[in-house]
Amino acid sequence: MDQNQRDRNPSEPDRPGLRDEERGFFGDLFQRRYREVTFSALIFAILIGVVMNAAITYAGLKIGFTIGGSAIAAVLGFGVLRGLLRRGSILETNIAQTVASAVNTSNSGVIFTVPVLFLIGYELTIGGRTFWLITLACLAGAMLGTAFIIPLRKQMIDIERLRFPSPTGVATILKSPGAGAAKAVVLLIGCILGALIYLPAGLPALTREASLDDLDRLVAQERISQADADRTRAIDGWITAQAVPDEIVARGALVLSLREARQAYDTAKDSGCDGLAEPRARVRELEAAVDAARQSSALYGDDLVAVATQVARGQQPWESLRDRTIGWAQKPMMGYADLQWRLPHEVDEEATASARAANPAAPELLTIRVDRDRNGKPDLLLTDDRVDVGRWLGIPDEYQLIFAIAPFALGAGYITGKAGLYVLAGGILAFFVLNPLAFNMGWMPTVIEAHQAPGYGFSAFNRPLGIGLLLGGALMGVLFSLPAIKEAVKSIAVASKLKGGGDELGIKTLTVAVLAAFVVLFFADDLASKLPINQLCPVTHEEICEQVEAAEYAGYSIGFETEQARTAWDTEWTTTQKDAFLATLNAKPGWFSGLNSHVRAALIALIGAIWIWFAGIIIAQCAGMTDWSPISGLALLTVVLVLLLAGTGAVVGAVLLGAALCVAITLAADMMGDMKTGYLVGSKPKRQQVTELAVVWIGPIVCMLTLMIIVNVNMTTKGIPIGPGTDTVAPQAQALEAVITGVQGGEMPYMLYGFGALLGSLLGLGAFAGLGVLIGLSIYLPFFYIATYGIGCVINIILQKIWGRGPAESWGVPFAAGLIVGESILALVINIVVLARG
Amino acid sequence: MKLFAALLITASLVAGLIASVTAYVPKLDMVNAEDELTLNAAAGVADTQPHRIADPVAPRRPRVRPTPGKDLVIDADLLESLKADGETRVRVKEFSWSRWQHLWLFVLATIGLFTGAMLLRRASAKSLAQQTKDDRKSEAAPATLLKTALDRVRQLQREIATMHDADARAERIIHTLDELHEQAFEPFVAARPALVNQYGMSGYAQIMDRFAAAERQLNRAWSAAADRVLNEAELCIEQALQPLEDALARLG
Repeated sequence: MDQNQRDRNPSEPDRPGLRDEERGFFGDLFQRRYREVTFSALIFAILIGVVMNAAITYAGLKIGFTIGGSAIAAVLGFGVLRGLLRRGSILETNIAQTVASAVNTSNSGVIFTVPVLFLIGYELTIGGRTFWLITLACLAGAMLGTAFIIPLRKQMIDIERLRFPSPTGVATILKSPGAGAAKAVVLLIGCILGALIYLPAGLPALTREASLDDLDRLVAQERISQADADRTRAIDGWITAQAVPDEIVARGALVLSLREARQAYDTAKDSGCDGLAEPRARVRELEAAVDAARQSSALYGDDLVAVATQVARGQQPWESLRDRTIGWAQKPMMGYADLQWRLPHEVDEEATASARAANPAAPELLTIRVDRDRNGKPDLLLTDDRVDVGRWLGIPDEYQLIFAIAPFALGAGYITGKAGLYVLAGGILAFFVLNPLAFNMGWMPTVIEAHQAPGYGFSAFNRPLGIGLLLGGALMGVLFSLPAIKEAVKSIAVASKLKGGGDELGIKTLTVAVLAAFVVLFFADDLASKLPINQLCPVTHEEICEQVEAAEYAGYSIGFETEQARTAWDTEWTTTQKDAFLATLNAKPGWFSGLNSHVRAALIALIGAIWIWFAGIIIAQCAGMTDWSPISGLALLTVVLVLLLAGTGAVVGAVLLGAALCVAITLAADMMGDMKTGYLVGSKPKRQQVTELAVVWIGPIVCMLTLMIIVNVNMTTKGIPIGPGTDTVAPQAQALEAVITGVQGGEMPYMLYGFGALLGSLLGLGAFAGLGVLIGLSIYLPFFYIATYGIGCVINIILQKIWGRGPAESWGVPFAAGLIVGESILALVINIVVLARG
Repeated sequence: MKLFAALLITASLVAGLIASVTAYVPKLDMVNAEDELTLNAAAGVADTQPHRIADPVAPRRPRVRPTPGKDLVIDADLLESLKADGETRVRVKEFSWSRWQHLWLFVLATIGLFTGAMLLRRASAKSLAQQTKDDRKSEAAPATLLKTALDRVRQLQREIATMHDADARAERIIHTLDELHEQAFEPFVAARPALVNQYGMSGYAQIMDRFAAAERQLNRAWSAAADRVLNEAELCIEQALQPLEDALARLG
């Protein structure tokens, strides 16, 4: 059919010649001329998104960072839609990866923030008010993040032409069927190589019960501690003798009684505030007894002694003690550390002489340079996930030259190319100039040793200065881009007046989504501000009861155990006493403390929404230019901002908005990346925007439920909801907890953020407005990833010199994309196995 | 000029960051007990047994007394003892302009950054203007690149209209668009600084808005051809022509 024939039949619904703007909304969305948005793609994507979300949530709580889902979904989409169903098109697979990553992505937003509530001691239960408030805030964040990015798509992708390395890689994967067999082979080789390189880095996350014969070797290889080996042998002794020491059984009985008492107390609490004294006293009595018993058998955890007691009572088989989750030594699967590449043996003559002067039989001591953990062995040069080249080369300890074993970073660096050198330069500036200089000039505390200087510098000044540079650079980028943003919005507004609404979702949709999200955010914050900041009654010092109406003081809600206590607070307590009580909670009044609580919530929601927009721009710029997203840094700033506005005691409100922001910016970055991929394969933006908006609500719910399941399992088995002492240590939430206590204790170096912002904005005044963002990002990130990423950039530059730009791009990008995909898929598989095995 | 500006910016950035590091680490000489500053990190070193077997790390200075820890208020006694121990600086929670020893360096750095940025902008604008002048009639001029692209797309449209084998048509579309991307679109996009310089950010945005619309349609045509949905590919090629013409018209 030629073009003239097509134009003669304009009324036929799916006639090939019909233009998109001539269809209705759903007719255009589900047009059948060329498969794009289909039910099979949507269902597949939601399913894979949910699985990825749950698996990555668990992994993120264990290791502190998450992996993106777009590349994985693209490859799986090919496998399922094109391979199994035999009908998927490039654009249909693109919609599948858009939806799957939208469902998956919100997890980093949640797990970087929400667990901090557990760490601080708040209780969250599925169906509880705080749980739903936070979930609601995350949903609002998801809507805001997705909606805010709509007008910025045109500016960042069409006009600014940001590179977006990973999304470019995803597009390369999607286009591989048409790019020719040779490029598909290159992509596949990249995938295989990426997976192979990552395999020994990822496999050690999988563990199994160690055999007794392996214990000494595992201790020698520093895979397990001597205490792990001793405990395992002791357990084996119990199993062999079919007897558990009386002391352990007695402690186990106490632990089991405590668990029962806690359950009884929770049940009593659910049914009202009366009659709590007795179960509470019982819990406290048992807690004290368990603590005392723990002192005499500290080698064994509560889980182990509880199971041992049940075994001794005949309630469980003896073999159930041979379980790595309760204390049997864990043997990790093969990893790079098994190669046992260690630093050279280097004796500290002075320390050895000193030690032998006191004790002639003292062993030879190694220098701190090669034996930082002081275990008498040179440290590993090659651990499972990184290689310490700096120490191998003999660079002074205050410098840090470590490379992460991360094919994805290498691939992302290659796709970024020359612009990535700015990122590398920022990392070098921080870790090769600032930190060593500060150390050698005596600007670090003298308790800090040379090898601790990079870590100290990172937290004391690199991080605030880096985040400040990011903010200043981004602000300058926005200012310089205002004409482009204006043109982009104008273009969308003009297009939305066309029949069918043009290629993008219009300004009206954006406005409605933003307003709806703002309202949800307001309600969530307003209700959160009504939650008491105290867990113990100021008058009786007992646990507060939700049924007693809270009082408001200095912008805070104060809870009580009984009505009498509430009356005493109102009538007998002086302002001085009340202020002193707030001081015990580190609850200083915020800037908005004097306002009516609804007005305060509205203002905070408004500022939060504007901040989310700005943070969305920052994150999209960072991801667009470098592939890195400073999510945790921005979450940290959000929490600080809310604590300053609402008061340092308003932790729930701060975490609530922090979670909303985190979810918003992760989705903003994800959506912008998906839009870039869509642009490269020719997808219509509106179809991606609509499908993403339709599913973003799923992710926060899945992630929150997964988090609660993990918390409940931890509470049952460990008695701790999350954090140290459990498998899910939540490193990012621990960092956020440190920030919250830092704000409460007045430790935040606010001026460093300001100085960084000033320097970042001045940097952006030059020829390249985003320079501050690039430099700031790399100062703020750990250097080992930047170093590996830098190698990718340098390889790209060298290959462009040797082969020319064309071949280096057309052959190098598929390979680099393969590296990203290979690692991502393997990491997901490992995460799923870890999640399934617990 | 450009090199000088770049060096000035680099040096100023380094100086600014170095100066910032000392903002919360005043010299003890500049600290008064009346300021009631609070330590934000342990000060001094604490071990009276510097060469213990368990921790044989040699301290940088002899350790003489317990370390004053974080959160301690620096009163007169503590100040004296820190000075007596040879401490020269402490990390505190409070900031003060008057205690910031390297404020002067930071001010210099901001001036250097501003000057460097202005010099760089000027030098860039000058060289871009020259480049635009040189490019105007060359094949690398943005307008020439777009005109070539437009002609090539029209030619492709004519070629595929005469071809009957579906695979051959698809291959022709893929091959031509790959070539077009490498030879015309990438150099056009790389000319961003020159375009911004010539048309301003707003004018550049208008040109790129239309160019991107065309490029996206051609990307879609590529995908459709790879999926062998040729009517879609042909429609997209047709729909790419108007925005390409618009972009060319805006280039003047």
